[in-house]
Amino acid sequence: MSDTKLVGRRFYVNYGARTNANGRSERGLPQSGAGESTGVGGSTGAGGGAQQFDQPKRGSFFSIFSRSAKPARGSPFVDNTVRTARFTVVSFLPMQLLIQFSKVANVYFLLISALQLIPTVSPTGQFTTILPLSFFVVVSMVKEGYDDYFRHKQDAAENNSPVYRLHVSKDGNPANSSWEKISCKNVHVGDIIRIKDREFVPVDLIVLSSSNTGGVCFVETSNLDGETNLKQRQALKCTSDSIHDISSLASYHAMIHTESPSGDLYNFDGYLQEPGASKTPLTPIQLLQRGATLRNTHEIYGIAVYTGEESKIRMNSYTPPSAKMPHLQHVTNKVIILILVGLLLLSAVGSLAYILWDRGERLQSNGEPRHWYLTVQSNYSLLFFTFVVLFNAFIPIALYVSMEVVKVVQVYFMMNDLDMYDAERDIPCQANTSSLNEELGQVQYVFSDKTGTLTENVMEFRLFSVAGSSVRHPSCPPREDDSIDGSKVMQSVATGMARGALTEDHQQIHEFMLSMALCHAVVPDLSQSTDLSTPNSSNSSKQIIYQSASADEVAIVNAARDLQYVYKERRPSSIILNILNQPSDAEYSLLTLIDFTSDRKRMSTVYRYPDGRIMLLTKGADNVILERLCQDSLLTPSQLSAKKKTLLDITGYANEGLRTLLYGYRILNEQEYASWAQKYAEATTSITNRAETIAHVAEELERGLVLLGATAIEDRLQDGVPETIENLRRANIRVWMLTGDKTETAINIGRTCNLIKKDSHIMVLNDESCKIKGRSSSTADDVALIRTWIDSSIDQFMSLKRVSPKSPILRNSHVLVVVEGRLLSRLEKHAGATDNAQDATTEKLLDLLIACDNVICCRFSPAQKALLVRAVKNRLSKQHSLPGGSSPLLTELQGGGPSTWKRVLDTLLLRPRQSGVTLGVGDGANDIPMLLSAHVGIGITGREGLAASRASDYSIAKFRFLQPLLFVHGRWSYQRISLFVLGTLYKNFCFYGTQAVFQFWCGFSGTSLFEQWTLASNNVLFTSLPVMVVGMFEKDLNRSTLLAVPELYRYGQENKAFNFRIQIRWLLQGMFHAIISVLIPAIFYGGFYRSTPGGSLTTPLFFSANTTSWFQQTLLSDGSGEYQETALYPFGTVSYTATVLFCTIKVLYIESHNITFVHHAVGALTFIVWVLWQFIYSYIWAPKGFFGADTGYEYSGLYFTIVHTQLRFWMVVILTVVIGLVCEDIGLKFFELLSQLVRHGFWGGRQDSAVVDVGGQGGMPVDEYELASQKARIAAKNAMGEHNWANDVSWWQFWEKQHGVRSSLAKDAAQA
Amino acid sequence: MSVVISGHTAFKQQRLKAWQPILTPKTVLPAFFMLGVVFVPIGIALYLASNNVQQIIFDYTTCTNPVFPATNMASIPGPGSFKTCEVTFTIEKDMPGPVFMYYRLTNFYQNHRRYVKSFDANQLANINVNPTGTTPPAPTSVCSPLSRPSDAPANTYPWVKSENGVQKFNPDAVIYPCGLIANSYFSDVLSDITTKDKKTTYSFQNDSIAWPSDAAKFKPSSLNSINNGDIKNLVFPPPEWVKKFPQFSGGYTSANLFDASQQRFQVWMRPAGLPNFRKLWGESKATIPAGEYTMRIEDSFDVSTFGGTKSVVISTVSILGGKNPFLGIAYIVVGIICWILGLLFLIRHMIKPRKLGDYTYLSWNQPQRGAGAEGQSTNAAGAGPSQRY
Repeated sequence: MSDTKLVGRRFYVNYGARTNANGRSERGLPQSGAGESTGVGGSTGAGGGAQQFDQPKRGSFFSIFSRSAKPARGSPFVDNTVRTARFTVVSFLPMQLLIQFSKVANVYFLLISALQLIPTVSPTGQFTTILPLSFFVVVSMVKEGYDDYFRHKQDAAENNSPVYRLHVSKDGNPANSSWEKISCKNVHVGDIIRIKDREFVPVDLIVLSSSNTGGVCFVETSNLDGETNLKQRQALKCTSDSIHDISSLASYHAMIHTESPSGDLYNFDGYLQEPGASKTPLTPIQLLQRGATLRNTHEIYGIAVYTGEESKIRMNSYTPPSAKMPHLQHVTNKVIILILVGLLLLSAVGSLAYILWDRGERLQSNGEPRHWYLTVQSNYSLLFFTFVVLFNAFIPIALYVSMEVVKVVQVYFMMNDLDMYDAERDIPCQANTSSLNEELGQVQYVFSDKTGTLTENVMEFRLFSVAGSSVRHPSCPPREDDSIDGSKVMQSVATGMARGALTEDHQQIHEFMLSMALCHAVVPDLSQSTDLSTPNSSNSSKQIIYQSASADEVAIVNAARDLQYVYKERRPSSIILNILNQPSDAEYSLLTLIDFTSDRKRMSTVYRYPDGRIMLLTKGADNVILERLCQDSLLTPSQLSAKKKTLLDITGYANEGLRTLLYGYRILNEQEYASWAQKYAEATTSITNRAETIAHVAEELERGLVLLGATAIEDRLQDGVPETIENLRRANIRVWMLTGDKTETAINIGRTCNLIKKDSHIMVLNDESCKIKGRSSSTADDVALIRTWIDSSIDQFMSLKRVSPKSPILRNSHVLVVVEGRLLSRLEKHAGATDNAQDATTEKLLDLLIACDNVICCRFSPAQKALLVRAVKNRLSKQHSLPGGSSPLLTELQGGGPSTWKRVLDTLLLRPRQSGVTLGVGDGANDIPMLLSAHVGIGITGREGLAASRASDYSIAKFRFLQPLLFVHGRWSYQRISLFVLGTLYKNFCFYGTQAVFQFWCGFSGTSLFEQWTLASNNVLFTSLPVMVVGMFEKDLNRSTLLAVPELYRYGQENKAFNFRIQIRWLLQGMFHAIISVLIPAIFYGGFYRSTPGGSLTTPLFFSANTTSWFQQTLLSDGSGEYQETALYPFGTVSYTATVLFCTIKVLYIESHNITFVHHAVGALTFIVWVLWQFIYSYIWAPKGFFGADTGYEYSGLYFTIVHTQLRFWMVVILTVVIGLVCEDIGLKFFELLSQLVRHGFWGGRQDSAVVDVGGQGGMPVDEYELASQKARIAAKNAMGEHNWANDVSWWQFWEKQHGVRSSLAKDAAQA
Repeated sequence: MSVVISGHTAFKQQRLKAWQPILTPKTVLPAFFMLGVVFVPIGIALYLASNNVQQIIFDYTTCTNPVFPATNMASIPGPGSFKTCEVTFTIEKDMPGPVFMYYRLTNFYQNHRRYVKSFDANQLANINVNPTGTTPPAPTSVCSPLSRPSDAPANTYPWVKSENGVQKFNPDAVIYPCGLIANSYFSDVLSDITTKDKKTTYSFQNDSIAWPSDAAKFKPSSLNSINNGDIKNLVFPPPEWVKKFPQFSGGYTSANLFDASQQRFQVWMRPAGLPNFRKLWGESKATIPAGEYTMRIEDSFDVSTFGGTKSVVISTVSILGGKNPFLGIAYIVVGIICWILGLLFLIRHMIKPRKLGDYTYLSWNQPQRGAGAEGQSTNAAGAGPSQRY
């Protein structure tokens, strides 16, 4: 124990906040004097010093320095002001600007704005980027400011709430002390505060005294951890004994030393020292945390120990949740970078073309410029930026903003889905984030907690094994085995006891029942039991409600109560029991309670029984207790046989999937206990490594136990769990169960919940299978053994999966691995210590686990769960580059890894890859690390409080809701976001591509085809709504189809809706539509004609016998009419209108599979807004010079009537759109044909089926039998991991519309 | 983000009535035929409408220097250094009024970025040009690279004194109208047309050829209020005008200042979108009967340097504007292609109909790579454990 760790903070009760040399060193700065801190604690000296320094100045001192959250000068502690607001009036603007411009998109558009502000550079006006950008930035800043304003208001309310503080009168007479009302923010460390029932605790404080007997008080901590049960807190005996009222409080003196502030809600170390007395340890039992509510207690006195920002709840809130980024966004970001590169390239090409054109057209032979009406340009330096500005919007400005909106709507649908609504408990699906929606459609690995997730977490006491017999709880129905009814047993015990002669067995049963009623940390809920305090009625005492953090404990105490060992009251140092309806209650004084921790996996209590015995009662997991039993030779024969029977029984219980606990006891003699108690007291007082020290000391006591018995508690499966697991399996999702239970229990739960099938091959990795005996062997040996196991298991796995060693055909065998956490940690410890060989072992193991159909991990601690999930995640992302599968083993299985050149070709052809998305499901606070580690964390809104569902990304009420969440909402969200992103990229290419195409007609000079504000408003007004509607409402397949055929889920796993190939297709289509949008109007309005000067003098071009061909004549046209609408912007309007129609029709109608009235409305709205814009803008704004609108030559006045009312305008637009869409369809087919040809021609990959062909006949009657047989084949194929589902979406789209199939699918869906 | 489930609406449950189209022969074939049915007649109508337009077009690029047997075009001396050509042409059918006359330029990049931006709308609208009438004209930068006389080639303005071979301009001097667009104003003069017997002249009016909005925008300049002695050194015509317009070759005077309200100028100032374009020259309300006509063209606008051409177009208009066979033909072609595709699909459908939703087309019923057949039989046999149906 190093001394520097002893650094904490120290202050004195009743002397205000005291400064101390060591007080500041809590920040982790080791100070030379740190080691003395415990020694200096002599109360008189230090207290006197403190008195000298502080007491006279108290009022003024604190009123001056209490404003800031920083420690006041001269005081080691911060004040109690809490600031959740993020900005002050001064810091708001700079901070916000910093935040806003740390977003890449904003920086990009700021750069574009800057370029645009240079008139010679910008082809599109000066303000068309900066104004919208400022608008968006200002809006989000205002929103932030608004939020912060409310935080300020809340802070002020909280900081000014009244608190009653002990005011010691100036004359120093304790009797004249009073309670003064102060603001919450003025509470300081060391202040003594009074809190009444149902008041909030304003500061982390140590309870000194309570109005309840024994200094006990209760708090509800739902604000802290979401748990609504009452927790017991208790003042130290020394303080609660000496403080009863205000005057005794005011005259109380002590010194308190606490550890430095930390965010750990569950641990607290410190000690209290009264003048001249020894130190008394302070534990979480004495600590009331800020934010809790006092319950069941009239009032308490407490002393503030952590104030303001140093309180536990605030320290906790500082850890920001790590932002998870969905996979799709990685791809999107890559594509955007690609587009940026393309944009820069295009700008470079444009500049080059400009220069070439300029030079080529520049001078004639006599040195005069050829295009004499243009000047000769000599400076090309800024040209590049002109093109960058012209093409900047290839990068969609609104993508991320509107994606947020789309995702919020998706989440709205999730939260309102009745399929995921638990009507019983009134819990809908809740989303804490919307950013991961599409990840839900790509999940490949599900890591599930067991208790409360797969099971109900309603603990029902079933059986106990004691004295050689298995006794069942009265509520438990008769069983096939030899178990006997508990109530009868109790009757005979009662009669025996009444007679005063218990048989040995009955004595054993009695002792066991006592330990059940005594060895726990359960609290009776007084609020619901106070009126039942009369001891005589056993019926009413049955209704005592117990509260505990552990459901198992409550079940056990309830069972003891049902069997008439009624736990009635907890006093500070004793427990009151009513045994078998005896008229008088018995008091068992509690000497020591060593808490349960997940490391120790046991708890112990030491009681002094009324008969004077000092009993150590220990309960815990079977392996832990078994290790600590005394030698068999010390047992009586009956004890021995009872032990054997009990051990037999617990194996039986475990095989049924029951949770077992073993109870052991030891009778201590006074001396032994006294000496141990002293050590223990020291351990509990130690400030550092206390938990370890305690565990170490406890270990000394918890040995040589006599086995008392065992309990078996059932945790029922949630409804629909086996079906859900089967469906997840069909969806190619590998479910891993991670549990703290022992191997047998885990395997049994695995069986009942269908994780393990009847013919599954189970490979167990535990001590036994690795032949690790005892703990003596070194870890290096262990690792070698584990490695052997892994190698042989991989061989076994391969032989199980393969039909023959060389065949690529897979066998349909189900392989499952069971791993014990201990071995993993051994591997891990070793890996940390040594070379890469161990890493390779770990990786091999991971590869095996990843390749297996299911995995069960037992005896895993919360940290290990998270560790494993992270390891799998990393491993998967490393293997992400393998196109074939997500695991090298799988790749090998499927006919060996692809050859190098094939892999290169795959990369070139942008073959989609596996998503490798992991998902964690859990319900308890212990699952939070796992939920945070996985790509997506799903919380089950369970009975263990809301901690998990708050920390999760999405929370549902039941495990089976995973099906609608993943198969339906996940799939749809994935499809929707994919379409949204593709559509956004497409529309930008389509629209802004026209600018690039037009350069061929304007000498590559960077002229914009569109008026600047019309151009700038494209994204917002005319094209964003359709893509958003698709992002919100697209459904490629119906809900019932997706639920009935989980295999369709592979679509997302294999990235079929959004991958590079598809993006390239959309971008090409966008480019194609851009070309058509310019080309067709250009032919119509300008023709390709360049007559040769010096040709015929009179060239009657049309319909004259002696001239050009008919074909040439057709393309020579230049459709001028009454007015010159071949002018630049009216010409652009034709292209613009065409692109608006292209985007609307393609996105809303061609690519969408689910066209509702919303689609029609938005399509019509987009078109109307576009026409209205023309009207309003050209009439009202443009003539007046709207923010630098091009007032001169283009857009004013009668533009609308001149362009939009002319038949030829609409005729050209319609022609353009029809040609574009028809050609696109044909071109698309060609593209697909080409890609098929390439793939088949080169190496004969799988054939993509054109499922619904235009050559067929619709409406065939459904052959139910054939469909059923196909479904069976689907299942079989899927089990082989062979079938490529994504290509068959349109097949299902067809079938789900056929009446017979629809009803059969709906039936299947209802089952799921 | 707590939400209490309140309603079971079709919207919330995402069960809105929807149209879920899939491409089947039943929908695709009629669509193709319908498209054809609609497009072909439209195309024919458009084609006929275009055909009804009477249009005479002739290229006079080589007017000043006829190289081809100039049977119907003669080059005669014109004003100044330019030539005038006389063209004879035949109108074969009566042209009902209104008849429009255009000039058509090719390979002329009015849409070039340097060109398009180079004008001053305020100057042309006479806004803030010369507020008091005595102060110097307002400077203008938007006309870059041709806003001040110093931007013009050397010795464009011979009346400005030079020192050491460099002309000294008044620092306040501006070009009016400034900018590249105005500078390159079409300078050829197209005459009215006259019957061969010179008895009847059909005149083409230029008072309603600009867009009404432009006509409202362009105003005569108030620069002429500048003292007559100063105006010559403060307001300069564009350099090309000095060469091409005899009336401006000596610079402006108060009485002889360019008037921006001329509609032909306004037509020119609205830049064309494409390098081949026609611009309206004049409108004749009267019907022009068939017969032989002559017209004179004063040729000063140089297109030969950049390989362009210039033509005169005399045309009536239809509902679609000028003559334009492309649109009608394009409609007909698209319609016919749709019919052909439809027929091809129909024939295929008749010969080899395909059952929709056919299992054999599902990807898992297609031959797999490698040992496909073997795999299939194995799979079918191994269906046992996961078979739920």
